[in-house]
Amino acid sequence: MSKRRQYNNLSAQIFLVHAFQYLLTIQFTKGCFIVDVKFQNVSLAYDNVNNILNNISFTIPEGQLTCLLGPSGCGKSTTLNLISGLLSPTGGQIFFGDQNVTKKDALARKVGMVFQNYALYPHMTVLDNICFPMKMAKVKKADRLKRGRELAALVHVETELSKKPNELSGGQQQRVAIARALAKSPSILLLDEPLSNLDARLRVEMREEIRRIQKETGVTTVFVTHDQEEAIHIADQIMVLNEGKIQQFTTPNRLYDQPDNLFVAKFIGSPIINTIPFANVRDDFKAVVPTRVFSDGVTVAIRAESIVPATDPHDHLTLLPLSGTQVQSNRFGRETSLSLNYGGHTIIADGFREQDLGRNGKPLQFALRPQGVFVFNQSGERVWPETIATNVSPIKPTEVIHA
Amino acid sequence: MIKQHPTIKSTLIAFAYLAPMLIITLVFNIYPIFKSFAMSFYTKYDFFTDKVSALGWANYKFIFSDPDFYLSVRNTLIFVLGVVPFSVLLSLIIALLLHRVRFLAGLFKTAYFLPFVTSTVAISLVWQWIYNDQYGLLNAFLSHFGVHPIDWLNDPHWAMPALIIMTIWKGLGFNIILFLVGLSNIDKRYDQVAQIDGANAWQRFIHVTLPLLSPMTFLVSVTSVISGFKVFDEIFVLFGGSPGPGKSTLTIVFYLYQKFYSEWKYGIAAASGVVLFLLILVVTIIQFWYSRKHVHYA
Repeated sequence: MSKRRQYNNLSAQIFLVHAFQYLLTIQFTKGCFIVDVKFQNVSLAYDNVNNILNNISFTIPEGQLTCLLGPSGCGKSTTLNLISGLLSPTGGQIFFGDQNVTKKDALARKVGMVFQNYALYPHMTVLDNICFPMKMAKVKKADRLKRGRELAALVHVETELSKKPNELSGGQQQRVAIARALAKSPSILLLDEPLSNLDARLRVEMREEIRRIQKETGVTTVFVTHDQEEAIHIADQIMVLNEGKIQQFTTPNRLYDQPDNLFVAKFIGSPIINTIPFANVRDDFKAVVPTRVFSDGVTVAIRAESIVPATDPHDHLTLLPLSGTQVQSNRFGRETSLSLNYGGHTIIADGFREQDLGRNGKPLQFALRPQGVFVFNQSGERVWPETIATNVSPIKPTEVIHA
Repeated sequence: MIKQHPTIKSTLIAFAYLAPMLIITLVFNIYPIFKSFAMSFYTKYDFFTDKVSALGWANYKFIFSDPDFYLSVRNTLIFVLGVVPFSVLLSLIIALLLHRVRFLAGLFKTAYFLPFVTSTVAISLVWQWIYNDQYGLLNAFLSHFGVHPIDWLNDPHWAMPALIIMTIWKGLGFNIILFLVGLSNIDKRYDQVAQIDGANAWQRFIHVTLPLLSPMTFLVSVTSVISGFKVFDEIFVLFGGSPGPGKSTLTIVFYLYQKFYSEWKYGIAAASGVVLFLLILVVTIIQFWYSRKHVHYA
């Protein structure tokens, strides 16, 4: 079992490299343009009542890997389906480059797509599955069989050509699905949770591979996931969606360092960011935050790694050490997780080492690093710290254009 | 799963659970099957004392020399060939439409299903009126196209078409429901993938929907063929207890019924039943053989 898995890991890696390099050659040989994707005031509602997407505008930059990230039901798959043309918006416009594709269906948009469950046609053989897009494009039979065999060899399923999908392992099915997505020389590649059916270790390897290969090929890629860690590792930009609205659309690190709102702060990062009612601990921050924040702040959020021993030699947010009570500590390999009672709430800190700790139930002095501490107001927007200027310009949603 | 070795006790317990259904099936299905098979060889038989005096092939010799029996086989085959293809095709088309219709979908489904749950007697009464040569709805409709009134129920040429039309209509609802179940069991992802792969609506139907629906199409055809071979009550009620004008709708089951209830020839009735059984068996085997190549089980 484990040997087979190892084999799968290795060959999966190899095949993905090949697959994306092939995609690269398609890009250049077929003269497909690498395009950006632009949404203008796009809405989608079912029965004109329930808004799935509410008037969203953004530009997915060309030649980059963009993640759509959010909890289930946030509208990320809907957004992907709007890009693919499987869904039509009830309002707004969609552009591929300069071309308005709003009214065009999936057929005309020529996107490549890999689904989470592979969605291979169960009644067709592997070769027929790969050749199906070419058959629909009326490629001559001899040509498409030749190309189909090439693609199959590329993804290492050449020995399985006459098998039906249900005779293949999950990994093999995914290879066939990717071969099928490549068969039509797509201008945009859409990946709908492509890694979620793989085991954890393989998933980590594959995401690194996808990222490296995407850099080499430069094809505009949209990757949907609900796993924030996966998104942070793979993406050039991340669009965080919740309840049909864009919460924030920026680079992974900026998303982590400067979350615009409480939702993003809580969604990004593991362990989940500590939140304490600001009123409980307000006095500790009196010297740090402006008066307006002092009165408007409702929630303070603190990243686990920003809670450090009072003896920590680096910069501290507050002049005096803060005090809490040590509840419990656990060591997991290189991580030490400390539960700390502060402001009437139990918070998790992982900036401590075992030698920094006392006994459970005893008071403990700690300090906060200047980074990773945020104050949010009543409606969940970040009111402190103010946006920190960095040399990386954040990606702004495109200007709203009124017709 | 718990793996248990079967013991005598566990086997007996299993049989106890199976017993109620098993007894009913044995008494009302299995026993009559063997009994009627045996009965087809009774050449001298007293029904009241259940005493068999002679056995032999005479019953089979009789039916295979009876022109009425040949007529009934011929009529049955015409009926099956007339009903099944149209019924399957029509119900597939209507199911495809209903599958897309969102507006009042429930009402439409109910409307199409009603004939199936309505008693055949009531249906036949309505159709007798529809088929009436002077006052009938069908002739009134056809007269708009310049068709002269047809005496559907009394003209030997038109009795069989009349029967076929009514049977198709009556069976439509059940087949539509089966097809709708089949259609909703097809993951709509396949349709989306096919769209992405560049297939238009017709290509998606031919290359994706139809192959994935094939197990249900097969089920519908097999059950339609079997129930077609067994047709009786529609004829009995539509033609007022007669096998149609000039025996034009005399089917095998009707032949069997006449021999059994009207002429008290149990042996001959049983023999024709055995022939019907073999006929259905052969046709079903052919269908299964065909399905091996053309039905895709996902």
